[in-house]
Amino acid sequence: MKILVTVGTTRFDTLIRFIDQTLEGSLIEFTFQISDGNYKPVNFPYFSFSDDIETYYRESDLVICHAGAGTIFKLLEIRKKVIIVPNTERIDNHQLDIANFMERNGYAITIRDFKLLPIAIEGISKITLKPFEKHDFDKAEEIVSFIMGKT
Amino acid sequence: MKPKIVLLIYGSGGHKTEMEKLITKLYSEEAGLEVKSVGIAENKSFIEHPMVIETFEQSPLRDKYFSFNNFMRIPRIYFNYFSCYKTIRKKYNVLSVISTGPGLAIPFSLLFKWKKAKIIFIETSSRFESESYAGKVMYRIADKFYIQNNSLEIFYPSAIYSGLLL
Repeated sequence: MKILVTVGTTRFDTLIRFIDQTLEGSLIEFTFQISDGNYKPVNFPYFSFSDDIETYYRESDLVICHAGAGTIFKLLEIRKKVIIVPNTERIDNHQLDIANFMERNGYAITIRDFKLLPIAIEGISKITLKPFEKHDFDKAEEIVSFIMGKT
Repeated sequence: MKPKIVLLIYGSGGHKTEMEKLITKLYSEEAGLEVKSVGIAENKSFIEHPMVIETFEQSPLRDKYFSFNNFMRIPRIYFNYFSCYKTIRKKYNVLSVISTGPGLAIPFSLLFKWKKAKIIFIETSSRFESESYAGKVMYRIADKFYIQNNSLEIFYPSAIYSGLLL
């Protein structure tokens, strides 16, 4: 199984360190995207950023990600299985908001306690997640009319 | 006569990505916005678009990492907002202020609303079950307020559902 662990633009060293150290010797092929993180994985390959993160998404069987909206929407759009790990090292709580929503509605798995990650990874193949229907922004014309005083 | 413009205010990360998509949509053939835009961004990674003629950098209204030093910078930050407002006013006729967040939108929306600009706010797509700080305040200021997730209706009853910019 190929798993991508991605943190987006904000480093999430505790998550990377936990997986790198706890799952050392595992048969799972992990790849880490670590942003400007200080912890550099020693047991699995890693990179800081990629211009082509979508290729990594597509080539993975499962993606473990921080609760960034951009990442989550993209992954759900391409129907990828996702485990969300909210980054509570950040002050703002919006990561919890989207993570709770996705979990409650069955679109993704959310893990708040790292210790539960190995079990969640093991069980992921048996779990069916609900497809998330993405509705694209459609109010540009309305906004332009409003600005120009036509409505 | 001063050129008419739309003022775009955005932060970093998701706010910027959302604004980029919005700009593309506003200047698409279907929507066909004809006036140019001026940006105010939270850091130097400005959005590049042929219709965005100038972008100003301003500090965030609320810093993600609260500290005493940041607190002491507040008067200076507010002063910078006001001089940026005056620079834009002198040069352009601002028809509308559009923001995808965060809080940086608040001071500029208040100042330009007073000058009769139309204020448009799009609540961040990362919110489903709670309001953002900027959203809470901008809901009271904005002439049009959009939500990208239907589940936010309970917090913003008169908001318009727009679908996702991400």
